Amino acid sequence: MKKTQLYDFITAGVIYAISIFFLTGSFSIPTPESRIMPRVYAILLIVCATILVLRRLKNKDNDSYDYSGSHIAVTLIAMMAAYVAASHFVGMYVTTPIFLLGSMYFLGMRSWKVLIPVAVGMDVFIYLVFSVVFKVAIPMGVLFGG
Amino acid sequence: MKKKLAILMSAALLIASLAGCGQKSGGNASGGNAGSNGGGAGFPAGKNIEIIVGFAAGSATDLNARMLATYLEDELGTSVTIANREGGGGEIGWTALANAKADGYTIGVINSPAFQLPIQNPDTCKFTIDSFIPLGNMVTDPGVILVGADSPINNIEDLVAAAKANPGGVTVSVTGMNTSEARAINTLAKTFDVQFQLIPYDGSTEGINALIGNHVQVSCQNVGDILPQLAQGNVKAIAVGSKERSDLLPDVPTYGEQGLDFNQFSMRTFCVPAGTDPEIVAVLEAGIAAVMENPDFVKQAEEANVLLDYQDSASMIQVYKDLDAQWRAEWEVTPWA
Amino acid sequence: MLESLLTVIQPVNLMWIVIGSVVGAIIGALPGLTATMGVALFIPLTFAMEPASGLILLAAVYAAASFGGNITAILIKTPGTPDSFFMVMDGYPMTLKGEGRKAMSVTTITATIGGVVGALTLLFLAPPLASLAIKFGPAQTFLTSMLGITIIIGLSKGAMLKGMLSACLGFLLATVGMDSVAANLRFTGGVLELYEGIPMIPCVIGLFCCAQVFSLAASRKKQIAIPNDAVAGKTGLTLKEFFQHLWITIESSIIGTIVGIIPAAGSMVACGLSYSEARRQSKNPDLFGDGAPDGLAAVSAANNAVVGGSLVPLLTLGIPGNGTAAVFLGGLLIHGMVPGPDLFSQHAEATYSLLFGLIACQFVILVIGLFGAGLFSKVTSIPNSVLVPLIAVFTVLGSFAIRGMLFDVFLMILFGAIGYYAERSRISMAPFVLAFILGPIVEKQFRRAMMLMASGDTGIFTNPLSLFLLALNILCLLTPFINEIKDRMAKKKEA
Repeated sequence: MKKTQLYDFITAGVIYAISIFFLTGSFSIPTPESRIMPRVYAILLIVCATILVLRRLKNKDNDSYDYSGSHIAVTLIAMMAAYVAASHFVGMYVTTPIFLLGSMYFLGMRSWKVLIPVAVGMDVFIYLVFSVVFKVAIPMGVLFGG
Repeated sequence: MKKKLAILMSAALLIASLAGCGQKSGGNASGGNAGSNGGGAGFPAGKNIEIIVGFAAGSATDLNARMLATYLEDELGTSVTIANREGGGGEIGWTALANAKADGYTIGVINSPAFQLPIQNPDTCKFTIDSFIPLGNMVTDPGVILVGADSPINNIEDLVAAAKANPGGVTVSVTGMNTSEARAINTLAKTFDVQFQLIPYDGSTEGINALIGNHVQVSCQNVGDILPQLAQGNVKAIAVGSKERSDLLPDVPTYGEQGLDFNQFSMRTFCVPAGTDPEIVAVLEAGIAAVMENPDFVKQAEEANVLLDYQDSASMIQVYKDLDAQWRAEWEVTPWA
Repeated sequence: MLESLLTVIQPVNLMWIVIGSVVGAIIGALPGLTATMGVALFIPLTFAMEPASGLILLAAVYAAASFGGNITAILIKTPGTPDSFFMVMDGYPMTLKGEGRKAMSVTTITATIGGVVGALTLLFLAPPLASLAIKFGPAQTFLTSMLGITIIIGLSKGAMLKGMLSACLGFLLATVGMDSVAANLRFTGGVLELYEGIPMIPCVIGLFCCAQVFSLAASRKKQIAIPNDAVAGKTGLTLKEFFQHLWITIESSIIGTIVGIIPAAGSMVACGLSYSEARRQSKNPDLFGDGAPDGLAAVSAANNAVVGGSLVPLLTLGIPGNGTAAVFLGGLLIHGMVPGPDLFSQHAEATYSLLFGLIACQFVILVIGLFGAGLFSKVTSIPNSVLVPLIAVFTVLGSFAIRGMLFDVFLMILFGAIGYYAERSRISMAPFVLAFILGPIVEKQFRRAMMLMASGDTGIFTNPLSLFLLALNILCLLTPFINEIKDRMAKKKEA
């Protein structure tokens, strides 16, 4: 119970930070009328976050949160970020199969009969659909002159 | 699982081949039938060229760009698409162009003198006169002041009288607070010492519809925007912004004739971001010039009542300098927001 | 008119209808590729085609893409298009219960009905309805878009505070970028990529699809659900059940069509209203949000009806009812067809072919959905260890495809993380998305309305239409309170 309480405070804290960021930023907007709405929203957010905190403190909220398994999620987030960052350098056709193999293995797939065709098949699919049919540029990687 | 993958792959292959066929027989695809300008510096090499338009689909600028794009595709031998980035009276689109990669694959339509207005205020404007290299002007569209079909206002005199009777109460729809239309109305207000309430919309269509729906009483647009609605009798034109009466609206007196010393027009010029390779600029410039001389294009423009006015890159650079100087002088006297 | 009907039946055009529908459905289903993108991508292909064929193809893509998102929304909780995220609410719980195939059938049939109603309305009632569209000035459009927000807050079962929090955050983040009225840059911190605001698609894909990727991974479940094949018949839906949902479907189709006609309202408001109505009329409202077929039926019908509705103001007045219609406008203009009475006189043949084509493609959608239902729902039995990485790659591709910037993909992952956190903290991101999408319209129209009022036009909020919309807004906001009072009174009676 104590642990989940903490998360509400974290949420509130993040909301406060965002609201203050926007409030201070609003002063550099030239036209007065354009400053109004962001300020209104930021203030409303602060109010909501405060009520959230107060409710938690008074223990009125019976919500309990389940964050189990988050370590897997966080690892996956990191893997995706790395995948995208790497794509900038070596291109998506190289990084996609690597990412697929890595993440599938990480999530529990061990059968090579599945791992290889999926990784390769996806590259083919991307090429056909995005480059041939839709002519949307896929990152080719800075190192390769893309 | 594998079966599904197989089905998916064959579907993808099928689509790819069909689309591939569609492209080739459509005659719009890369390589092959490139015009004499396609060779050049290896540009455009079959890659898609995007034209950024700072106004909504359906507006006059947008229609002009689409018409040219269709012919430009044949000249350059590659696909040319339109990207609408409307808002802020065109500023969002021009800013996008100024910041785009200067590789020749992103062109944009710059509306003057519209874009010279925000430029005078370097604090808020993210581009300058030098941010763009003009390729060629396509259209010069005179401004026009409209009222609803049933409006009691029939000319500028009536309009001024209405504004005098109701200070700040006459609403005028425009496509942005910093546009030439807005300036026209503001100049009108200054000349006759009255007040109007300008309401900015995201495009001429929205602004004209607001007029028809009776949400505003007046609208200031360009001739090219209003012709369909005018033909239907939904709106009335009471003044036109060119120096002489427009051939398309012979019965409508000019601003000048009615005491308003202001030349309102919209020039639509195709530009690339500054820093683009001069060889690429030359290819694009030649391509556009060729389109403007294409008799089919000229005919289509005539039928669509598009007022062609080709000016090449060099003369446009001069035009921009002159307009910039003119607006800077105005700004010193009465700065706008 | 008869000529147009014959044109549609030509083999060439039938082929385009099928291709457009199939490809459109796939585009809609893949997270990241949206209906708008689909139509935009097909426009160049139509250059060389006859106007009638080109328009039929575009209409098929539009309708099918709007439907395609339902598939992934229901089966794997990754809405393929932002409009489909309402399907998640009751569709996904049904899948979890093993009723995936049934959910697919429900959504297909009701979407078809919705689409047909929308298309028929377009065909027969376009001109009179257009005059309705034009009555919506800034004040009315403001109230209509606010409706989307008030509905979703009203729907936040027992979590109004968090709903408001979510909505306000959405509104706030929507102010980033150049504002549409005064062209001021707000909160961009000099970051070029943010000049036009936080890009909507990466944000939505991140919050829903990417967050789902992380959720599925963290859940450590082997697969999403095992389809319960014991459910009746080929389609998983009995005839009796069909009739039970019929009334809601028709009602939602009508709501969807009308809302589609109103400029700027769009699918969000349509689905929200129909869902709200369906719940109000339901005998077991508590089931809503946990797998109520009625809820799914309502939003599916409304969502597809919006397609036809949005084309009404587009064809008659040149005002697109939503973003996809705006792109569709481009497709019309390519062929020299300018919206207005010209379309129905000079270009009548092509226009009516478009309308008949729109009706015809609904049936192709029906076939795809029904026969594909079994196949599609097998997706949920793909092991998560494979499914999750695949979806992840699709989200990356989809968010990249929009502007060609890796910045957008990073943004998407960031929102994915936020979405995951929010889900675990029981904060619904639905109000956020609605506020984020409708926010700019709300502010823009409100400011214009204020300008009009400053000019002395004080009647804009007090005319009948505005008052009606205002009343609707208040009603939706108060719904949870009304329900609570009803519950309390019922409990008192029992006591």
